[in-house]
Amino acid sequence: MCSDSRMRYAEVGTGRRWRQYAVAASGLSIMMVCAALILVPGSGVPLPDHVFPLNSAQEAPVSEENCVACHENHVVRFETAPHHNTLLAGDDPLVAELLSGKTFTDTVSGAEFQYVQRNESVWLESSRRSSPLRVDWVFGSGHHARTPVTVVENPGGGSSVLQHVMSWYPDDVIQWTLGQIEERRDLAGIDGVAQPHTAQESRSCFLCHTTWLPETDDRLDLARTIPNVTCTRCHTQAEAHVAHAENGDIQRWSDLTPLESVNRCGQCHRRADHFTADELVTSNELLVRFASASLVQTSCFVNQQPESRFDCMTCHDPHERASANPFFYNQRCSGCHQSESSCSFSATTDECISCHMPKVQIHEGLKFTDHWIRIRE
Amino acid sequence: MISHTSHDLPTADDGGAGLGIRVQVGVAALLLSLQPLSNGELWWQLVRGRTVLSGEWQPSSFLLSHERLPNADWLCGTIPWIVFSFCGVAGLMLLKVAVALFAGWRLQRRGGNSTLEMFFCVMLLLAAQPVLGPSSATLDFLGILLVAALVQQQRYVSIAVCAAVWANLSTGAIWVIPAFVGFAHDDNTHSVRRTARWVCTLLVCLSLTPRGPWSLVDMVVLAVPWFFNDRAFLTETGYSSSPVTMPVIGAVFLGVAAVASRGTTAFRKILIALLTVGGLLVGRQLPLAAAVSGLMLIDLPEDDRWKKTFQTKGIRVAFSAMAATIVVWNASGGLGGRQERLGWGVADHLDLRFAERDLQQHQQSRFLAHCTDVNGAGMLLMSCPSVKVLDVPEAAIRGRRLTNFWLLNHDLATGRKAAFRRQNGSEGGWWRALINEDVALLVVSQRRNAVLTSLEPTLWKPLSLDSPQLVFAVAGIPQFSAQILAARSQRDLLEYGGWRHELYSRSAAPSHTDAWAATFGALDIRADIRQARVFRAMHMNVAAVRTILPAVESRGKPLCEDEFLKTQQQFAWHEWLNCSRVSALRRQVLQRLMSDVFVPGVPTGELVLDKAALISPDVVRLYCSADLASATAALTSEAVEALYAKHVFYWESGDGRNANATLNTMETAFPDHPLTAMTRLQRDVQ
Repeated sequence: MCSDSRMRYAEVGTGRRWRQYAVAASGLSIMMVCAALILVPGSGVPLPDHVFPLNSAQEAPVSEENCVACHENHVVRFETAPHHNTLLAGDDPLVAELLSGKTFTDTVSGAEFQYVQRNESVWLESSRRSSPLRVDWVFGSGHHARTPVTVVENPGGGSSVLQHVMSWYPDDVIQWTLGQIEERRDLAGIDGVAQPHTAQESRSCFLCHTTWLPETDDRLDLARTIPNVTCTRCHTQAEAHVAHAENGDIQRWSDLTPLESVNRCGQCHRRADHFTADELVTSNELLVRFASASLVQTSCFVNQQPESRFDCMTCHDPHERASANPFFYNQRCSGCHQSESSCSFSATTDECISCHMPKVQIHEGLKFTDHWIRIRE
Repeated sequence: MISHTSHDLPTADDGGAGLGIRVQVGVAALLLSLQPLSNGELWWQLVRGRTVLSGEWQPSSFLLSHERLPNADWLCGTIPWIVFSFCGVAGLMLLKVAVALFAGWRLQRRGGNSTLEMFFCVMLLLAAQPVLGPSSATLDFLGILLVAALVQQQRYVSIAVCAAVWANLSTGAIWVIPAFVGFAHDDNTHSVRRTARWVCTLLVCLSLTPRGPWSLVDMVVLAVPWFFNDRAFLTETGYSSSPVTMPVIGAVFLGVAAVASRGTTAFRKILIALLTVGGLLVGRQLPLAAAVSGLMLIDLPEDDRWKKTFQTKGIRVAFSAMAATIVVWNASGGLGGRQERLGWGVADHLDLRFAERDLQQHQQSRFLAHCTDVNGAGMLLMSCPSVKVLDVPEAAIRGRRLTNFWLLNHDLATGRKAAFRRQNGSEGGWWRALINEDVALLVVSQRRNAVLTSLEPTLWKPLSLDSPQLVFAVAGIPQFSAQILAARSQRDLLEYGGWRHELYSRSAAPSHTDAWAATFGALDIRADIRQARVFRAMHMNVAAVRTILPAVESRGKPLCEDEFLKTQQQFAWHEWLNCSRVSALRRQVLQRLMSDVFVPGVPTGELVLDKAALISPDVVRLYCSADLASATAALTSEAVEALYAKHVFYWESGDGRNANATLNTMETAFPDHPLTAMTRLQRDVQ
């Protein structure tokens, strides 16, 4: 057998040998290319797009100009809504108008803070840090407050938000940002002027205040971002809707269950399942900041009937500023509480809100409506 | 029968030379196996073995909350568990050595005694090194050797029996098919029809498991996971491509040599190319592909030209020298010291002592845990038999749950805590995912620095800081409160106290012996570098530099330079954030470490050397070589920058008393200087 085999190899013709060479060469080439592609450092496998949040897609979403063509009324009305004005770029003239020249001196620590305009930018100067911090963005619609931030690159990777300890409030003053007075009143250095956030936290801040937040090499690409909550932030599948306008491909919120609907709002306004059980208690006063988390705890929400849908939009139109008129909300209550039914009691007065959903002051000059509708002790 | 194996032919080396070659292969097998066990699946397979022997015949379903289906490879961990329960880690090491020696012996018997074949044997053992330690892939490797031998002996019924047993031991049993087809191909007694008939028989045998015919599907899914999953999801699961190590190079060499060899038939060339490319895509398959390629190389006929080339004494000596160099290089840690070195026991990342210490109080607790990798799952389950784990990558791939498993890890790594909608409409956010599953423990590998960073500002807190698999629990759950507080205190000690780091190699358990370090003195500092990275990820920069400095002192800069540089960049960044300037010390250190000084977030102008404030280059040199005592002694100036540098040296060497004394001097001499203010701030934080 052995000699047969040797004979066989000896008799290999030129053509077969060439064929073998060709097979060997092809095999080698394939192996080398694969080895190079797989093993050479840096040839990382790109992540599929769908793992990223809706507003971090590689491609920019449909712009508002597309929406105007058919929904002009909505878009124009929406322009003045808080959602549409929840993030200002540092070079926006409104930033200088709101902040420039404002000063604050903390009577306890003696720390001084002042916003000044210099070189077309607004800067925070403080006795706590020898060089000023530039205002790169201002978060908030101004309904409750506006908080300036500085964005710096982080050697650990990503971009870090330095959230200023001073915020602007509707009575046109600057003072401590919510939560900072307790933590930073006595600190020096950067910690006394701003709260540095990790890259991940910083991304979360921007994700809620932008419509589109592209990232390049793990860093926020803020030059290309679309600030504020615009149409496509909530109305998903807008591309398909624009492409086939008559087909109604766009996601309708009315198709969502009440809980899905509240949780959509809760992605930014906090969902109940973002909290631990011991945080979801009526005695937790900080919960009043997170209306969507509180709302789903209420009997009104839990016991609602299909014919009387109850979610955020029962009272709030996200396209415009929330009404400040209690009568408006009392009417909404009356919508269900007109008569005794399986889920509701008949209202005995038309002043529901002042008792069942009072405003709670959680910071000087800062009140929130408590959305945990209940009978208070 | 294989008609042209080389031992049918006159060999190039006869008599005493043959014995010499046998000895060389044996020594190579011994040296290649005498390295600490480093397979990430080790504890997981042992736990599965323990579970089966305790009466649960579906181990994965019993241990994983997401697993519902029976496993084909239910017996996989039983043999290692029996060995471990009687002889401990030493028994597993002996098993590894035995596998290597057996493989060497089989290859030698198959391949004859020529120097060239000895070289192929050594390369095959090198390529197979990752599968020598007890794991499912070890059984696959042994299975391939066995099938090759049985084909040679035409014992086809035995191959069928082997396939049936193999299928119950490992999901890699599908390798019986390419091995059988590849080795039987040149057998003249095999027609295509007969081969096909035997392949069908083998497929039936592979189905004789508790999973039945679905075993085949599982095996195919695990053999080519990239075909069923996005390749991105396979990263860090053990089912993606391997980094370049010596075994990988050995495997590629064998594949290329087999394909390029004139004597290899076209069918075998295609088979080897496919298997090797498949192995390059799935790192754990590469040693098995190398086994097939190596065996086929050894089987090659020695035609006259082939023999002539390698018959000369010079060539023989050269090949022996090459083989020896490769084996010794590999024993020293391989390329860039990335692998385990000559030694005994378990690798540092498998050191179970830490998990046992952290979870001692919870052994009987019935928690549910999420582990970022299979090693974490294995260590957790070894320490807490009552705990269940959500999933492990292998089971997730098999059960088509890999995307969910990967996305949870990705959300953890990218800090996507709150719920959000993905582009495909699904919902992301790790917080809710864990709450919904009622997960009480998170086990995070030390290598997942991004996860550690993203957990920092959350309620999930570590139970310890130094384990290779860090266990996190939610603050507020009474069972974990004491441990979380203890870890918090440790953190303060490491960052602000008088703590000094002792290198892992010097403090390791007796079960881990670094024979290379004992012989040549060069310590293995990979564990220390990893620990420094963990501290940096947790924003404990002082602890990070305290950890890396002894490593720099021990092994010099090259290995630690990257980590040392990153800690210096972090310090420079914090200095700039806190006092709007970067100290001369950090500037000069960065100038020394980087050709083009750059710190993200710090204006370039802040990093330019200020000649007026220069501290002595000798001081910087001494600091960069971790000689803090000499660096401190060399600082004679009383300038503020020099005092600051002195404070830093005292602080980083854990001498808080002298650090405070230096700060007092700074406060007296330069009360309003930003560096004084920043140093004061550090003291106040302390």
